Amino acid sequence: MNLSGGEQVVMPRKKRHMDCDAAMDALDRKILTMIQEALPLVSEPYEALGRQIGISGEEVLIRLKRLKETGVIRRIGAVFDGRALGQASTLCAAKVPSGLVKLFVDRCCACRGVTHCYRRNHEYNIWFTVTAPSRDEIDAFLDNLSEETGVKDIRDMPAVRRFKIKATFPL
Amino acid sequence: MIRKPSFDERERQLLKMLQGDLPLAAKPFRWVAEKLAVDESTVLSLIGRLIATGIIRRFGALVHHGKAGYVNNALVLWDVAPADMEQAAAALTSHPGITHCYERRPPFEGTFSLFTMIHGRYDDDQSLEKRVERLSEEAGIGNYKILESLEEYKKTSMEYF
Repeated sequence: MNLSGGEQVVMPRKKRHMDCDAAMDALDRKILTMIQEALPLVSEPYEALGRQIGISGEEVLIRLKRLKETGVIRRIGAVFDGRALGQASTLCAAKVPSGLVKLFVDRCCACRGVTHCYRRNHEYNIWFTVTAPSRDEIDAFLDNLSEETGVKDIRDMPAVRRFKIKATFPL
Repeated sequence: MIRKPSFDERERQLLKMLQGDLPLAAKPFRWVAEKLAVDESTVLSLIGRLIATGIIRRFGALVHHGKAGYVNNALVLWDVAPADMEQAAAALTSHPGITHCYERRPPFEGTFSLFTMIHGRYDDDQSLEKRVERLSEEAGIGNYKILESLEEYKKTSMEYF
């Protein structure tokens, strides 16, 4: 364990996030780890999950309801594969002057196909993903966004190969 | 060419419900089945088929990673020659902190073509920068760029149906 130097940076973060993290016990973590991978496809999935870790389905549900209330769980359902659905997508980076960031981000995020949008530490400061039924629709959206905001410099970088996509985490 | 799968009306209704939020009830699939006026077993076998065909990538809980302790994320861009792409990707993706890895065209700044997302916990004993530095050594990639997220404006699941 390397505690030299990094310690001072880590500590304030730890304090800031202690509440949410401390609210989960080992059993919560176990349940979350399992259920983010897969909800069992059986009539009573929570009962099935509980059996694996030695508690009742009711207790699993009580814990999950609390995790939902505290916002740790966003939703329970399907994550679809856009590519398998024949959808086009891309990642864009835009060079947006500070005075235009609000306008640009508002216009950008109003689009249903924009699912992620971040400000990052680069002269290309706004990064966003676009998904649409076809490449033509993405082009039309980007042209329109450029026109409406006056931001001309948008880099459009579609994926040509996918090596990994797994947004689940050990908890 | 891209082939779009087609769904009948009943499948479409089911897909629409699955992209939403299932209730935390003892029998969630029965709840779905009742809404669609079909058998629970029909719902279960349809979901199973959608998973098997890769249309559903994951079926379960979506976790708010920040609230679960994963407070740092960064986009890391790697300068990798086409011939080394697969090997570099394999080295990077073997780490659980790397959640997404794509080759993109055109390369950013004419140089960076391998894109990864990396996530870190508040209680990691190493800074993100340090971890990326170690990754670069393991993957043998000298030139990389860390783009931290300074502000999140939108993060959602795509509504396809």
